[in-house]
Amino acid sequence: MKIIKTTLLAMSVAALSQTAMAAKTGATLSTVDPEADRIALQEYMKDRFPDTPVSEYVNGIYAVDAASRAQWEEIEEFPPYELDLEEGEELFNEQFANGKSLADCFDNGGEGIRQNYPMWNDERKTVVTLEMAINECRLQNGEKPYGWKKGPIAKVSAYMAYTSRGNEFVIDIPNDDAKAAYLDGKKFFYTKRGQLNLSCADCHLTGTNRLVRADRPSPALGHSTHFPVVRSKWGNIGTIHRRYEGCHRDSRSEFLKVQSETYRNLEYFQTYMSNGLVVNGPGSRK
Amino acid sequence: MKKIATIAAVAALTASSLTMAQSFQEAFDMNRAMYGAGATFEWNGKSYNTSYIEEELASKPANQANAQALFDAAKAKLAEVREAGFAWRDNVKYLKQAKEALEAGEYQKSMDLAARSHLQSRVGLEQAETAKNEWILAVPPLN
Ligand code: HEC
Repeated sequence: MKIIKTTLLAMSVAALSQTAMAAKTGATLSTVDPEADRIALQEYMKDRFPDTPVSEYVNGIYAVDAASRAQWEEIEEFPPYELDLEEGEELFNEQFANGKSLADCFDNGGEGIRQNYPMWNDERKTVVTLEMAINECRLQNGEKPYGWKKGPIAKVSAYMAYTSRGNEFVIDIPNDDAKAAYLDGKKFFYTKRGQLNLSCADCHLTGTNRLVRADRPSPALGHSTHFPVVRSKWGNIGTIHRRYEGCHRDSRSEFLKVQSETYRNLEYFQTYMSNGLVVNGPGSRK
Repeated sequence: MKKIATIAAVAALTASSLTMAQSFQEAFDMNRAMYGAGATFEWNGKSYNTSYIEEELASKPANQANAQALFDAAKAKLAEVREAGFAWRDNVKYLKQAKEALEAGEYQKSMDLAARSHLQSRVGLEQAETAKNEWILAVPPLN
């Protein structure tokens, strides 16, 4: 039963280091204020990294870690996602068997719209991510949906992001149902879980740019602006939910299904936090 | 030195509570840290044991009925913690191994594995409870 002792020990130690910043409101539907949350997160980061302009947070860890930035800039000179963009454009323009194409399912023919996603759908009372909208469009037109994490879905999403580069995120939370989804995502982000008793915030807020084993977690601000992303660790392009899966598991939790309601709400919360920052996807990361 | 670190950490956690009225959990944790499993202690005039429920269950006679009962309990607990969204990474693996051992007639092994799974679920559910009030403490304050 040695494992029992070690387990409980890790947890009691983690309890000791509970941060004491303590927001007094924002935990319930009646007090949660997404706009105030967004500004508070920006203020937190400005305080921690006074030399980093807010607009830089679209660059993840490279916004705050000068040491790895130079190497990344070199990589971006010949972006590893160039081929994915070409393939993504082809797939995007591909005609379905019924003569239609993805362009028919989206506003503005699907160009320059990344900044609106994930989007609250009030008839269905659910958050619709860009990847979900792509696959639903295929299904509605009699085509097979793509796999969710990598390959065609990520390439099409990359192309759609690319056509939206420079547009500011404008995630909308139109009513209380949408706000409840946002709150659910916010709660997920700040909740400690798993055998290591870690929250996303332990690494991506308080832990930003601090060494966690061999890695430095990026700031939560701007987390979703550049997805999908080519990671050298993956060796190919993947969606943000693919990343969620791995990070969720890093707390030694059983991770959820990609595109599950919880992950979609999480993306809704994270992308709302990025409102005012620009779309710069696709991106490249370690 | 691992043991010393363990004791020090637990002591740090409990020291401040010694002077105040102890909750049951505090009394349990302190006695557990000092005397290990299987000891008894007094709390509010009654006598208690320092063992975790899983240790008690896994130390019952190793036979098919007890192993099956512990496996069923662990399986139900895993369903509960999953529902709450706090299942741990390796939990289901322990449960699967417990089932294999049970089917192979290795009852003690099965009971130890199921106990481990049960514990992970139980602590996961405690996390879920704690989280209800505490998650908001990590959010940067609104101005
Ligand atoms: C143990 C620490 C740890 C935890 C817990 C953790 N992450 Fe991460 N995360 C990392 C590290 C390290 C990276 C890679 C460096 C970086 O941030 O780009 C990363 C990367 C990411 C990225 C990609 C950032 C980018 O710029 O491409 C996202 C998004 C992300 N995490 C979200 C989350 C979410 C959501 C959670 C909670 C479910 C979470 N993380 C939990 C450590 C962690």
